Amino acid sequence: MYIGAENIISPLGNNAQEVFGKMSLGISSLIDKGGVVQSYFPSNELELLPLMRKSILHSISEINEDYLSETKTLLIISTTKGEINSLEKDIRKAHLYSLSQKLSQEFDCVDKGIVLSTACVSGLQSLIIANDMINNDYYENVIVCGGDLASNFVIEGFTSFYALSDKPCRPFDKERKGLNIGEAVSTIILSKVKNSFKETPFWFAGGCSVNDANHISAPHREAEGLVKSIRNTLEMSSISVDAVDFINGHGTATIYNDKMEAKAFGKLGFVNTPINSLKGFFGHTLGAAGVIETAIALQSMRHNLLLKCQGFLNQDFTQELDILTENRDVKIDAILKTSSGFGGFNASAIIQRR
Amino acid sequence: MHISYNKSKKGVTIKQSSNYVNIELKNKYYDLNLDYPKFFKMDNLCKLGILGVELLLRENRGFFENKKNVGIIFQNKSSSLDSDLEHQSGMENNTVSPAVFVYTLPNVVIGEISIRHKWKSEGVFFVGEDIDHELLSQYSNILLKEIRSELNIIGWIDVFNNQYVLKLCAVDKQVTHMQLKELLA
Repeated sequence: MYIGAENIISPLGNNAQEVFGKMSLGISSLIDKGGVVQSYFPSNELELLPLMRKSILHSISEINEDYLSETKTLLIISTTKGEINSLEKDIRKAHLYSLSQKLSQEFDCVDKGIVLSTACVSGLQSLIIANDMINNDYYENVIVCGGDLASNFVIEGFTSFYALSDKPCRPFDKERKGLNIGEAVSTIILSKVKNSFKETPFWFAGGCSVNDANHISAPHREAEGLVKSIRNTLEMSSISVDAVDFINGHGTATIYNDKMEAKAFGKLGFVNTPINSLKGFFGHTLGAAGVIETAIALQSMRHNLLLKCQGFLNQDFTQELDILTENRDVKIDAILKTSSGFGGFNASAIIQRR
Repeated sequence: MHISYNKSKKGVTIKQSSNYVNIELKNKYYDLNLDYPKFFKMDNLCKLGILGVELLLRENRGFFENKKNVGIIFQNKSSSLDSDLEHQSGMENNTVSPAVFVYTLPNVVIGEISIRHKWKSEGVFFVGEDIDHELLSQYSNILLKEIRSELNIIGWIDVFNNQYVLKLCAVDKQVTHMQLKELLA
């Protein structure tokens, strides 16, 4: 199905174009806050709901007027922790479903709102399910909004895992030593009709998720789940390894995650395909990650400009990969997006120019 | 027996019978003669999922035979709030533990079930105030139609505030939302 109308609200800016522009200049929002490197909004009482409202509104404005109201539209909220900062004060607010309930009531064009929560895979899986829902004629449009906050809840949790880096993270680099948490909201719309979009959309060819069935918090040594997911996705999308122009990986910059991903890409023969991870620009944005990273990938296609893998300098794996050390001007017709996360989840999808 | 379960076609239900959630779940583990020590490390949401799927398999042995591509489609109301509160109190007492934090994501129960049964397939976790038969049946139908799974476990699994409920069923063909409602009744 057609995919576009991407919006991003992040510490780097308030729309996808602005954020992409800063990233193309090598600007990162990762900074030290009280001894923890993270990407955060300068606000004390930060709430997710108003950010999501603003982001959805912006994306809807990129669709031709009335189109969404006249056709059947689903809203998918992708989040891992929602309004987690309300956990102590107001448990009702901390319920994830309150986000989709409120937002689907606020937007008249939305027929139904749902929440999807599958850890770091949430965002990409929401896009995959959006595509599936339209393909199977259950809906004509799906608005996917991903968001999460850089809460103490999450930071203390990852600290207990020794998963955080005390410096800006370095995805796929030999010296990588952990991730940084980021906060952001991002929205993307999928639709059956190409000319419902004001700006030319792209084509979401297909995607799927596969569980490792191996460990709930450690990546599979042989990358079994990710390999199987990518294989299935390529088959569903009728596209060969050679036809993929670019891979935007998950690349959290933890030792084992990146090793697993590199193994998967190598095994599948993506040895000359340019690869990046965007975590060095805005950290790991959890439930927003798959959406914001896909939004940037769409911007890359619009500008035919691949962004460097911020933080990467030296190869670490036996199978060398083309991890981008500089921005690269190149025509991009097909991209592969992948995500992996807790619970042994892996997801992948193909987006094409069409 | 502390927990009752009803057989209804291919569905199973685990209902609460007291306020002693931990004890009930542990007793059920022994009732089922499970030999899976990892169970005791899990949070209650995962324990409930492991027990529910075990019951479902025992009630439908033939149905699951030779099925490798088993999709799991779950939904609940409280996400992982039960473990979230435990992690939160760990933060207040300076006893934050990765063994608790890892369960502050609802989809981990799908991971635990996949590990136990070696199912390397599709899985998704939705959150909503009430069970959404339409959504669950739609996604199950999609996975089966596109042969991304050959059988799906569909269900509602919620644990919060000393309350829990589980309803599961298994389907291998297209179902309408009314049919799913009957299966999960």
